[in-house]
Amino acid sequence: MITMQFSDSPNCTTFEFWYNEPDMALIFSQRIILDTAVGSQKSAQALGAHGTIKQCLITSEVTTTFCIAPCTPISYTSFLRPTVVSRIIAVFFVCLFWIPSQEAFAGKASETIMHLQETIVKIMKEGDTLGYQGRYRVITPVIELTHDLSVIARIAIGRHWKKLTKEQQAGFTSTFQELSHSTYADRFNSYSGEQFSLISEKSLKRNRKLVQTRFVKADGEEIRFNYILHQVQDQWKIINIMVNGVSDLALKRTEYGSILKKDGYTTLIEKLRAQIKESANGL
Amino acid sequence: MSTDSHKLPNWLLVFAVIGIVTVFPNTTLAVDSQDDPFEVVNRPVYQANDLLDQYVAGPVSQVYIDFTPEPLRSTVSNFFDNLLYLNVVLNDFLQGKGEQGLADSGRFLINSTFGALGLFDVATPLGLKRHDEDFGQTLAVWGIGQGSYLVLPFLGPTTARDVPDIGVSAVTNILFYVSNPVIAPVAILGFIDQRSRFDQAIQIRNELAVEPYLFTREAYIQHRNFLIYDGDPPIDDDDLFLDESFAELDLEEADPVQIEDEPDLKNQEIDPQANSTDPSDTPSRTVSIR
Repeated sequence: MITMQFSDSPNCTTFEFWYNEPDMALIFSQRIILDTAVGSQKSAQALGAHGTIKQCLITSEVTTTFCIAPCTPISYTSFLRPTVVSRIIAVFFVCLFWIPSQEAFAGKASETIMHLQETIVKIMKEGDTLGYQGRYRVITPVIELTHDLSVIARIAIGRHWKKLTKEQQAGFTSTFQELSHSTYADRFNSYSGEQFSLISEKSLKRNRKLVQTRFVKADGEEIRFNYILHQVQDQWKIINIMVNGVSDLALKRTEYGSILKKDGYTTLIEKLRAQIKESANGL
Repeated sequence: MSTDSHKLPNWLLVFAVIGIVTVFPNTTLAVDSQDDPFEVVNRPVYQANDLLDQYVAGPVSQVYIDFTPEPLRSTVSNFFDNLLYLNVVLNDFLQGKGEQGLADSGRFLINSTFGALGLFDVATPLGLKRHDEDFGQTLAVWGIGQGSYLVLPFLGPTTARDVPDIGVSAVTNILFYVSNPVIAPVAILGFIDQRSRFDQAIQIRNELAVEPYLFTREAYIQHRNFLIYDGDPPIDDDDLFLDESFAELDLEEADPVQIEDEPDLKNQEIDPQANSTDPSDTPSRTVSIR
C-alpha cells in the first residue's frame, strides 16, 4: 500500500510517501524533494524511515536523478515550475517504478541490511552519549536479528566443530556471539559524516543473496561492504560480510582453525575473551 | 602494501629473501595454506617487521598524525599519490584499459600543473577519479598466477606476482629521476605518509586479529583480488567457500565418522554429492527476483 502526499514551495515540489506491505517487517517512508526551479541546481533526496538519506544524487542542470527505491535511479527531467504538470510527471514515475523497483532491488535481504546499517549509523551518531555499554545494548538485538551467528560460528571453526564436546560447542557459540556484539559496539563508536548506501541485491545459488553496499566517509573514501545472506524462516540473515573484498568469515576460519590445531580450544576461547575485554576497555 | 620506497638496499633484501626462500625447498612445516609454502621464513620476517613497526614506524607515524593537521596531511598524500601516478597510467594501458588510461593521464597532467605539483587534487572534482592499478594487478590480468605469499623485510606482505611491481613502481616514481639531495627527506616523508595511511588498517588488525600473521596474509590476498577485479571480484554463484562449509555441516550430520580423520582445512574440494543430496539446504524461496 502506498500513501503519497505533496507540498509545494516556491522552488520545489516535495513528495512524501509511505510504503507498507503486510508481510514486510519494516514500513518504508520516503520523501523526495525535487528542485524544479529553472536553471537552479537540481537535487533529490530520498529519506528513509528514520530520516537517513539513502540516496542523494545530484546531476546536470536539467535532469534530476532520484531513487525511489534504493539503487533504482530514475531520471526525471524537470524544466517546469511546480505545477500540476510536474506533479503528474512525478506521480507517473512514482507509480511506474515504485512497486517493481521494490521487488527488483530492495528485496527482503536488502531490508535486513538497511536495518543493520541504520542502526550502525545510529550508534555512531550517538556514540559518545551512549558509551560502549549503550552502543552494545542498542546494537545487540539488531545483530541477533540480522545475523545468523550460530551458523557463522560453526562455519568459522569448520571441521573442528565436531571434535568439540557439546558444552564446548555451546561455549564457543556464546563467546562468538558476544565477540560479534562487542566488535560492532567498539568499531562504530563515532560519527563524522559517514553514510551507507545500497548498490544492488543479487540472487546467488542455493537460495542465498548478495547485497552490495558502500560506506562513504566524509572525505569521499569509499569502503565496500558486501553481505551474503540466507533465509531462516521468514528472515534474511547475514552469513558473511566482505569489506573491500576481504571476507570476515574466511579470515576467522583461517585464524580459528590454526589456533585450534596448534593450541586447542581453551586458548582460542581465552583469546576471544581477551578481545571482548579489549573492546570493552577500549573506551 | 608494496609501496613506493625505491631505496636500493630493499632490493638486496628482496633478493636475499627470494634466495633464502628458494634454498628451502618444499619444507612442509606447519603449512596452513597452499598459498604460503614459505610460512617458516615468512613468519619470522613478519615478526621482525611488526617489531619495527611497533617501535619505530608506528610511533613516528603517530607523532606525524598528532602534530600535523588533517588538511596538511591530505595535501602531503595528494603529492605522493601524484608522484606515483604514472605507475597507474602505465598499468591502465598495459591492462588494455585505454579510456581509463587517458583519463588517468589527464588526471596526472591536471594535478601536476593546476594542482601545484600534485599538492592539490583538482582532478577529482572534474570527474577524473583516482584509480588503483599496479604491475601486480597487470600480471594478474595477463593471466599469471598469484604464486607464493611472501613477507619481505620492511616492505611487508606481497606475493610472487606482486614482487615485480616493486621495480616497476620504483622506475615510474618521479623521485627516481630527481638527482638532488632534497629527495632524501622527501622520500622519508613519503614513507611516513604511507605508514600514516595504513594506521587505521593496522589498528583494525590489532583489534580484530587473534592470529595477526594469518589475518594479514588472508586479508592481503583477498584485498589484492578485490583490486585486480577493480572492486568487483566475481562472487561465484557457487560460492565455493561457503558451499564447502555447508557441505561440511551436512556431511557431519549425515555421516559423522567419515570426516573424522580428514586433514584439516586443506581440502578445498566440495563433495558434489553432499551438495545435491542435502535436504536441509534447499528451503523454499519466497522472494522471486525479476
